[in-house]
Amino acid sequence: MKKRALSSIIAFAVVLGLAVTAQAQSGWPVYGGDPGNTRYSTLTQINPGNVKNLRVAWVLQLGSLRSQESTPLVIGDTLFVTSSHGPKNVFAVDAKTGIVKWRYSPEVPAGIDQYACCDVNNRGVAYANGRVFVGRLDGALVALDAATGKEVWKTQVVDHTQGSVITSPPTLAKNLVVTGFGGGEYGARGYIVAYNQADGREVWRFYTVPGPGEPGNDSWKGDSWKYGGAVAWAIGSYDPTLNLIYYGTSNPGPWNAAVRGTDSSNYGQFTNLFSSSTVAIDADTGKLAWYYQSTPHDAWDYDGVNENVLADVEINGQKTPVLFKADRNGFFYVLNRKTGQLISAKLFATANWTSGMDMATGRPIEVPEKRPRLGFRAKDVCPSAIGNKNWMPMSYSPQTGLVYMPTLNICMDMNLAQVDYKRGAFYLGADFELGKWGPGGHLGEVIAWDPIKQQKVWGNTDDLPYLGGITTTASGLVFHGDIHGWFKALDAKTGQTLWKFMAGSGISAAPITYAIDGKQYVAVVSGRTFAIPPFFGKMGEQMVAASPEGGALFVFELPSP
Amino acid sequence: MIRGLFGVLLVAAALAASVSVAGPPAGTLRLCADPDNLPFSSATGPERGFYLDVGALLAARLGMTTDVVWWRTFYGARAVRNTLLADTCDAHVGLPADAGYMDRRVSVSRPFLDVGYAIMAPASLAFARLDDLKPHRLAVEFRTPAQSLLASKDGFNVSTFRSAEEAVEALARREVDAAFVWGPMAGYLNARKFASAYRVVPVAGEGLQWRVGIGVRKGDDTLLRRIDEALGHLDAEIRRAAEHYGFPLAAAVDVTAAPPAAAPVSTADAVAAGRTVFNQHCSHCHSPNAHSPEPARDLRRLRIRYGERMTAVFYETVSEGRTAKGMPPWKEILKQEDISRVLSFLESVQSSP
Repeated sequence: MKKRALSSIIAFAVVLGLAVTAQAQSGWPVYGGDPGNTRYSTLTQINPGNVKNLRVAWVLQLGSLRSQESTPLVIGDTLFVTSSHGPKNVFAVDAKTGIVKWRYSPEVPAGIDQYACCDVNNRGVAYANGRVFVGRLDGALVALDAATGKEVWKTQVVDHTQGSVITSPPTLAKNLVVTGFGGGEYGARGYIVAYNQADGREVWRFYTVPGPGEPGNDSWKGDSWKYGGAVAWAIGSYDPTLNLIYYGTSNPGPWNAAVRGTDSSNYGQFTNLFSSSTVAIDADTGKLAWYYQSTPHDAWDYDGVNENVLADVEINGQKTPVLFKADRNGFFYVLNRKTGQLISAKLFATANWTSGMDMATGRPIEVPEKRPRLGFRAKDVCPSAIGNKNWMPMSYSPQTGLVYMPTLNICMDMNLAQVDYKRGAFYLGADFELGKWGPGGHLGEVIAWDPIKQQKVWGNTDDLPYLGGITTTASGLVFHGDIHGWFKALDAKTGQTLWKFMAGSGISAAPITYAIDGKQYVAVVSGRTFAIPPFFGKMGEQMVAASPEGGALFVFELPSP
Repeated sequence: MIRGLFGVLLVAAALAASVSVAGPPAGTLRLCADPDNLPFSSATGPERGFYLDVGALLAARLGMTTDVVWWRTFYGARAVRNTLLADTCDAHVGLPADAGYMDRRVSVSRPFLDVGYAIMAPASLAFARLDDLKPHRLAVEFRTPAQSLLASKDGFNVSTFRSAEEAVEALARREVDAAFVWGPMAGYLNARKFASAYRVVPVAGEGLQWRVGIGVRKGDDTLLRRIDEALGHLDAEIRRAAEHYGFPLAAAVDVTAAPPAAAPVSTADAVAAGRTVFNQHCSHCHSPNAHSPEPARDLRRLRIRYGERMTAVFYETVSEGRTAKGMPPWKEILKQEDISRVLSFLESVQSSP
């Protein structure tokens, strides 16, 4: 008992030592748990000894089916959660009982699902100063009164009929609400845009593809920058001390790399900045502080959108502000988040498009026969277009010093030859054979990764991909769901499953944990993905068959003593 | 005559049935179509679109009525998956007649039309080979085989646009000299907006030309056989419908081949020819060589007056006339190419603002 208390105190001390990441708190104020996206909670009431006793406290039906990806927020005693499809619903509920306080059900245009590349998902909201901020599939960003759910303002970020939709909650920095959007290969030129939280007025806009005369514009052939993609469709991070906002950017468009450059591993100047990159933006000015491009002149659809997790760690005896990113392209990156300098990069799962990192240039060393080109089919390329990790967020536990992440073990054949059509016009689209099993026969693996040594500590394989986002606690627990509908608690040190619950529909969303009146809860949204299976042929059929459609928030508690 | 009337009645019957939910299912052909995609299909009109017209012709031939199931085709494969393959409709007019399409889950009828990418340019812009366009500004549509083709060649001055409509608008504003875009769209806009003033030349090459058919679910062999049989009788009517929408129907030209025997008309020649036509037909009111002392009739001020709308206003006014102001319609009098030459001449004499 005494030992446990001591270790809790140590954990707490470690946390206090972090400048921007997890703080001791009882709620879940932002998508990633903290602005640095660690998804680490200091709560310890639920621990490896009692987690087996978890039971359902209450359930909220979200009112839509499939592709639920929402991370709820808990502010005070109110829990905010979104459904898929628009979102069809945003709920404010009593976080202890699940009783609905209000529901916001926006009118979204008919046929909206026809413009969302990867299904009708929504990943949740952001909250500040009595306002709830919601990005919508129809390209609108709205501010709601957190007490009533009434719209306070609404602004149009992007035109959804061009294939650009908003699926992720915005990032908050000072008085700003900042968002990107999706549609990387459908004719968008990406931007990240900041609005005043109070009235929705635009404050700045950072184009993720530089225009003529701007540094980086010459990394695009001809006028390909005009529709260069590089959209920021996933989650941003914010470091209030450095006042920097971090976003990952998508692949460049179009898929045919010959339009954007050399269509070869010798891409020369045509790296297509700032696609498949991490960009650090000054929150006051919207100007680029630094960038790091993970996949230059992408030809695989290796978006670099994955969340940047901010931590302060010792590197060579020196406390260093870093960010961790497990990229779609298979590299686990550690960057100095103040300067953008590459500290280390290692492959965390099966990837054969590269033979490793050239630390001098910060660029992956390509294996030329694994680069799909016009008229050349690259075979058995790992990872597939959905990457070694997709949007499902990882967690960093400062207590164990490990990163816990859902990884994918899928390979592909790819070239540009498939007959496709869009609005009556025919063309040769990207021809993926995505459903190729990676070595070992499993398709997914939750791994614990030492980010300093850059090595795997343990791994739990799964027969299907999509293991769900991950959250860790100071009591040494790891929570995640899977596509079968299992919601699991693991021992953070060993990966051993300590408890599991059948939610009835697959889980992609990341769990949260919070405490009210001294009682800790764990919550997760269930509702099997339909975002990716349509691209996967036979493998996709297995994913769809893994569990029925659904849409529910499950909240768990320990029985009263 | 009676036959023609009967055909009209049949189409009218099909139209009437398309808004009715009742009716024998066996006699109804459910067509999948995009509700907002002219010239191919439209739920709101004023035109129904070429693919729906083909569907109506087909249904009439089969003695069936039609019912339209609307689905936006921003992602073509998804549209087919959610309509045809989900059995919410029976036939999708306008799918590529490619054996491998949708992993063979779709069977496509015999092709009823060749469609593809085309170069749209003023009649005065001479080109026989793609290389002839190198000195000119060329619009191209994003994410198309035309874009890929130009990307594989050096020396072209290319501007990329998200859609064929945007590329053609740039052409009309004279920001570009030619547009290499989806031919049916180019032809349709040319016919509806520019009195067919532009040339639209289909271009041969890999991924540039396609044959289009009617898709049914794989295994729907009886329907496929009936469609194939009916299409065999509809060639002339389908061709007329394609002409109605302005689709370019000439054989595709291999613009990468050697230059042809006939020398193309140069811009200078077009200007000279245009001056001759102008002085014969227009100088009576607008003064010889367009040097009118009266500002309202001074055609050297067209650019100043209409800016980027100059081309459109020119064709509209010359073709239809402005009878209230004494300007007669010329479309029945002058040949289209002569009207285009007059424009070339007028462009050469525009005053600067």
